[in-house]
Amino acid sequence: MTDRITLDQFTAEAQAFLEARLPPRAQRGEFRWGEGEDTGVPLWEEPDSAEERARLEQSRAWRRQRFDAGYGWLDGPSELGGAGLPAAYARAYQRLERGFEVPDQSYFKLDHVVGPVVLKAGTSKIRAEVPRGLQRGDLVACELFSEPEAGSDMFSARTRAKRDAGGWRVTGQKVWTSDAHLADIGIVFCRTGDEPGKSAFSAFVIDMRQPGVQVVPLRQMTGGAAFNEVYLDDAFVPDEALLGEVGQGWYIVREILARERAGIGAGMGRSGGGIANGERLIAMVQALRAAGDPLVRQQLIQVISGFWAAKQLGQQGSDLAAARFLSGDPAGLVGKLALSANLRQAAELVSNVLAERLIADTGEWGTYSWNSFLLGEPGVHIFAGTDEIVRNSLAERFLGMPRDKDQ
Amino acid sequence: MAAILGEEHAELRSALRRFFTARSDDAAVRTAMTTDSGCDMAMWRLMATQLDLQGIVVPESYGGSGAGLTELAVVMEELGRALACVPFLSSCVLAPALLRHLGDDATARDLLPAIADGSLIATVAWADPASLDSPAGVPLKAARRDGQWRVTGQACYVLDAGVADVLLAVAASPAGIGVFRVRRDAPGVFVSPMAATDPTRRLYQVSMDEVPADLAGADGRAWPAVCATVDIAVTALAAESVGGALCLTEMSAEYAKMRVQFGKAIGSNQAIKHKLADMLAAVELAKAALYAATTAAEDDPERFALEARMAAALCADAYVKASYDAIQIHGGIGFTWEHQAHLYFRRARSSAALLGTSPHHREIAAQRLGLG
Repeated sequence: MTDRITLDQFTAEAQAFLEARLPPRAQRGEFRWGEGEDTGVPLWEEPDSAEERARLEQSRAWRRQRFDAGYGWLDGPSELGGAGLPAAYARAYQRLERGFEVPDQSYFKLDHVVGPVVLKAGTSKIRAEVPRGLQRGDLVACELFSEPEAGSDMFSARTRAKRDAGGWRVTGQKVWTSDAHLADIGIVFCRTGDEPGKSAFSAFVIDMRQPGVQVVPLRQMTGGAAFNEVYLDDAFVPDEALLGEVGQGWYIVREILARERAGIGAGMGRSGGGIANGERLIAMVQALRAAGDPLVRQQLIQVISGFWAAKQLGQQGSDLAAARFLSGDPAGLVGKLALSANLRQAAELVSNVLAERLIADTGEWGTYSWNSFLLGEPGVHIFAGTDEIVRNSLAERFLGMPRDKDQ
Repeated sequence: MAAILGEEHAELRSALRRFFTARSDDAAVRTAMTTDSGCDMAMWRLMATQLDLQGIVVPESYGGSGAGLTELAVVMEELGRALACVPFLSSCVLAPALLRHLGDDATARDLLPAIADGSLIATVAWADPASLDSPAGVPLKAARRDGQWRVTGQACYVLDAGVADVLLAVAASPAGIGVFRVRRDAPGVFVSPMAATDPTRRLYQVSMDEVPADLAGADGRAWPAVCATVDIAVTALAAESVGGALCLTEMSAEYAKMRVQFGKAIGSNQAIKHKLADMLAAVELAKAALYAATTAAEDDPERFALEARMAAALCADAYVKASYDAIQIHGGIGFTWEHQAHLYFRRARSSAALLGTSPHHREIAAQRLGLG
């Protein structure tokens, strides 16, 4: 084994690499009310497709550049295309990169949600191609889990994979798929057996660019389309694309969702910015001259406190030493519930302060544009686990209540 | 993830929990609360000899452990869990904090070592809970006559005055706000217990009639020390509340698994599951907020001043909510005198007003955020 570069040396070289290629991150100045485009605070990104494709290309280009220079997938195994360095090096690089203006990497957020699971459960061909592909920006992934008949209840999924020569033919309909319109691959959860229970389901990596895959935008109540329906019509997945064994689909998906959920409580992906740190809400209250109203002050502090506490719990995790009656750390699920509650409270504050300026456009900056937030917020209570499912999970998995389905 | 509490905190907590589970069980609490003092002084002495607890935030140079707010919060949580009937908040948190911030070494040297070993009990007589944040709210007056300071006036809601040896009276003198050390048995001091919602924490009306007193710190310059003490006090109280709330969550979950109606555990019902989930969520969030505030205390006073109040509101609300939900989950039995639930309910309600209400804390937070 060759002598590994020291962490200090690595950091210095990475810094030089970044400085040569990227501008430093602009000091994020205080949010100033009235400045810039009045885009409001959309919770679900509904991009213009030409603009989105351009952004994705920039994102890909950066990933490719840094990967080819040896700064992609730093802690990935070298035999699969990673740099084979310890996690500390990867963290050091991430810290450095945060100091520079990097193209939006959120199209590749699944690299640490799907990538690790594929690494664990994929066949050698998939392990060789997919994690590296996600890291290098060659592959954008999506998750094909929910169906019209299978939302909270994944086991009602009807999408079916039937054996064919060299693989399987998948037919069915998936719904609420983010980024399907951009994706090269998807992780598809489908039925491979007829028996009752989990073992009837498997998970595959599917090529999204084949003719049997049709992506249709899904129009949501905000008026835009942040998600898609995906129609699968005899789409082909080769044997090598199976994740884990036949019948292990539920475990694969569960792990992906857990990893995804861990990220959700901490933020909202590409959208929803400026709410959680209170800046925008404080600015709104002041701009609308409502800062002296005692009820508004109360509600504002409640919202700010709520986001702050949720952030703290996400960072600290639960103190299990004080709470041995808990079977595990509920911080992730609590974070999801807290996000729902905080955004709902924020919506109420905004409604109270803006009043009629929220319901009809007077042309004033930063008023009617809150509609995207108002109309997007109900979705937060439903996606990645409804509030009710999350409460059930907290009670059943962490507090030991008898499970609904056992009754 | 960056946990704030580590191994040492877990060990401290474990030792405390063992101690208080054994010594401050329901029977002990009910016995203590019917005594005149409302305190279990035998347990107080054992807290000193076995756990060295009273000196936890007293600086080492004055005979204490010199621990910070994070360690104190762990102690307060366990005291709150056990509804321990001891004058800890007053003598071991309020008095030492005030003395430390006054910067009067002579008075500190005089009082802190004895406070730290539990042999002296001190408390603070200051403004009513709703007026703690303004010098105009201070009810006691101090005047200097023939070279002797004398304090006059009436303070209410004074913690543990009935068992205290020393009262630190926050009083207004011609120069401003000062802190005056008064002996509980000095002539002119009248201490009467207030009938109170919470029998596990005694509150007193203290009248002073030209009581001889010694100035601690500089005359008229004590207000910053008082402010700092209020923020520390609300944080300690918040920790105590979180301990109680977590205990109620555990108790309610246990009951929901055990109690059978209609042929199944009541915890099988989603209404109960969801109530428990919301209880747990509120407590976990409040607790994380609390420890964020305690870590700010040492290195970022401005951030601490804001976060202490946000945490205080969250913790008080979580405890009050838990105390309602616990009664509800326990059903009829939770509504009885004999069941523990109402003792926690009383403590939760009392703590939610003792140093200001949650809306008050939020209003202070709004001011500290610069919301004109």
